[in-house]
Amino acid sequence: MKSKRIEELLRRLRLASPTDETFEAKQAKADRTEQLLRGLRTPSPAASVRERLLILAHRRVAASRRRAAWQPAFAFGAVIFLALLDFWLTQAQAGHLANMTGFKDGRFRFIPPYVLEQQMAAAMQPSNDF
Amino acid sequence: MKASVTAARLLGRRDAELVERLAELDVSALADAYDAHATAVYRLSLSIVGRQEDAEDVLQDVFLALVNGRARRIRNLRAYLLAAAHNRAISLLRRRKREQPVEDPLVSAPADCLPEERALYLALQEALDRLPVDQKEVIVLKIYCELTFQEISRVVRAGPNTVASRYRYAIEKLRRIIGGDANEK
Repeated sequence: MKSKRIEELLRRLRLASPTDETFEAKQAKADRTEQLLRGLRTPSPAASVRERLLILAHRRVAASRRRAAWQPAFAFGAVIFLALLDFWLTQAQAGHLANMTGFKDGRFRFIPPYVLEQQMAAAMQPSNDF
Repeated sequence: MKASVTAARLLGRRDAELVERLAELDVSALADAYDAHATAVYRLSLSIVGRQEDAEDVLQDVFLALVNGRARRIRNLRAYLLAAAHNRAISLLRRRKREQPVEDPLVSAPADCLPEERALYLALQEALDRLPVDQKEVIVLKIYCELTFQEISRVVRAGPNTVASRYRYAIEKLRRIIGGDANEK
């Protein structure tokens, strides 16, 4: 009983297998179409594209090398600038440069020079506290 | 089979060397990469954009992008170039949608074909030009660039089964369009 069932299954598999004639015929037709497609001529890019590309690539590489050469100097400059800015802001916040820059309470304000002069003159006056 | 595997391995090694040299911004490596892969990239671009000038622009952009110093990340140069060409050509096609496209034929009849074969080749050429872009590019990648379905699926970003179905539909359509001529010979 069991072997009959297996035989039946095998027969079905055989019917559906890709070895049957219909499949082969279809495959042959598809192969023929592929063969014809392969026989067609396909275009190639114009030679000028290669020349133009290589000229552009040379330029791009030269620019990239120039950039790479300047990069450490730019990085160093940026670090120095940030350090100076940080120092300056710290000083301003502490009050030493606040009058000069007008940086006070986290804001920049323009202080006219004559006001600064008046403030400095007032600071130079001897104190009457004692 | 063994010979093709060896050839593929040799090509892979050559491409790996090219990638190394490209990463060091060697322009002669770009020339070598162009000589090896430009035709395949151009054919794929032309199959999508349908115009020679546009296909040449895509080709130039794709190769120029190789000299950006990031080439070391590329694992399969041919697949990378074809995928880049696919993306650029598709975006160009989207931008150009409103304009009237001027179609340049993707293929032409061989010069030495017999007069009775010429009509068949012309019919095939027209049929190929009439295929939808997604089917046409699979035909180009499979037949003229000799990629496997697995590689094509990576290029066009679709599953291997989808790619195989597109190929089968395209071949069926071509066979139907060119009629019985192809099958009688």
